[in-house]
Amino acid sequence: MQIIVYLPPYLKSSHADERGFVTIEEGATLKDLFELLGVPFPLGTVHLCRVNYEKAKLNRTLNERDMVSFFSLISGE
Amino acid sequence: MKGYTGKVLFIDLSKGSLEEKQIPDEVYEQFLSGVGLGVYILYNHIPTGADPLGPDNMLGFVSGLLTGTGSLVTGRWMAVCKSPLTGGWGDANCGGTFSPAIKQCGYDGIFFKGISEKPIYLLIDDDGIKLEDAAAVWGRDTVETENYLEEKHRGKKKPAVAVIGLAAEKLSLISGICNDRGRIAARSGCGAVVGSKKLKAVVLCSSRIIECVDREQMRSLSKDYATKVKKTKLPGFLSGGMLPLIGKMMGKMKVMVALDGMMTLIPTLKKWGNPMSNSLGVTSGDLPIKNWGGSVIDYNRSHYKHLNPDLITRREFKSYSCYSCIIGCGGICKIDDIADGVFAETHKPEYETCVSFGGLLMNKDLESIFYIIELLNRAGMDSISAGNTVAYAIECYENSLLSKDDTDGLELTWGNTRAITELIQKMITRDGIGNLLADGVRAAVQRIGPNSARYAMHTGG
Repeated sequence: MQIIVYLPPYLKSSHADERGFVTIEEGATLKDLFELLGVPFPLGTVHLCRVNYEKAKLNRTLNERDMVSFFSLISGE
Repeated sequence: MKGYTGKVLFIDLSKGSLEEKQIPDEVYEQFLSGVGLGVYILYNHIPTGADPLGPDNMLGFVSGLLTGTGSLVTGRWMAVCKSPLTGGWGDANCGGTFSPAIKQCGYDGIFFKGISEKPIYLLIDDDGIKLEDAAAVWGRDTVETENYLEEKHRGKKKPAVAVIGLAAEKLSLISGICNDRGRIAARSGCGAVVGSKKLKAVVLCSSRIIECVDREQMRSLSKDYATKVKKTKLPGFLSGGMLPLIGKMMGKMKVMVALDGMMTLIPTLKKWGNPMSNSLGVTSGDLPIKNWGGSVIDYNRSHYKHLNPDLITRREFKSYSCYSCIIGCGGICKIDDIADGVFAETHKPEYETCVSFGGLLMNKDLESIFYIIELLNRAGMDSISAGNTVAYAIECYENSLLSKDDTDGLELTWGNTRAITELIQKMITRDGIGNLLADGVRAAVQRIGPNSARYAMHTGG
């Protein structure tokens, strides 16, 4: 399934395409996504992450077309 | 959605005549409304070579295509004209409550040409359309004028009022049009065009229903968006004092990525408004400093810490949203302890004003910025162009192109808030050196001399 991910620049990942879509297995959780993207310190960064603009725990199951956003004021130059 | 009325109003101030015109659907399909409709009308009505301050120039107040349809964040109105500042296309836009009022009068835009013999204002209410004598308000500032006209025409509905101040009356090419006591459609010198027509104000207090083909669908979209906006907020640990560090990190980033605006921009606007960029912009290298010639080395922490947005919101006693906006980045700040309490309050300064009267002038006195903002809002002068012109004057003074005699005794040095404030007052009233500078940097170069052109930062005016 595909979900859309807004990554901050310090978490740049080759798994996301140009439009931010990431392909992940059905039934994957937020923790699985963090591991796939190589997000460091998941327990810390989860506080800055939202799924469909709602707080989510690491065991949150993701669905097709979910939007995962990270809070960041930094967009790069 | 067809949120438009399909009609515009033309007013010839030379003849005192009114004409209502139907606009075909195809025009909206091609140009939408707002600036697009303005382009269509002005292109077809302003003759080649028209003097921007003459009777042939046309100025329009145009609402947005979606304004009033139940959609969110669609409440801005546009002023459109041939710009007297650049000689080309001119537009400026503004929030507040004026945009829906245009449509509630039954029009997508109201366009003026000609020049009135005496100062007048336009009144549209449920009794009709009238041009009224403005002698009682000509020469008065924007806040006083708005208060007066609002009180005079207060009926079942509170009128929406757009006004010009002293700067536009005196045809300053960097003047704008104000509404809601301090919001301003500032750019392009559109205020001077209104002033040239001797049109002091537009007062709208009609209450027609604004149509929308599928209101339920629009309501559903808006509700969904509003729910998201309400949920977004900044992490609690983030304070204004941390923004310079974030700016430093931004300046060092080698990649650019798309951010989710709902997660970043919306909550920062909710917390600080756009002054969140004040100190962040200095350390990221984005903010203009010392008339565009300096950097964070010049305007260092001892300076930019005074523009911390937390210091601005500390003065805010009331926040507000413009029409149809749920972000609410606007605010009213208490300033009765500044400059001997001349003004009780002012609008929360925007980033652009903080920059123009902060880093650009090497000024670290935030109180002076609050005071200058209110001076400019009441005069109806564009704070971006005004700050830019003061920066130019300081560099001219620094490089001996202006002497103390030329500046009426003002010591125009970087960060000299007293001199900066006095210069702004002189620009508003066109007094002495202020008359040289009241039309922006391009006109000032023509008056001070071509050697000063290197200090004039502009793109066509």
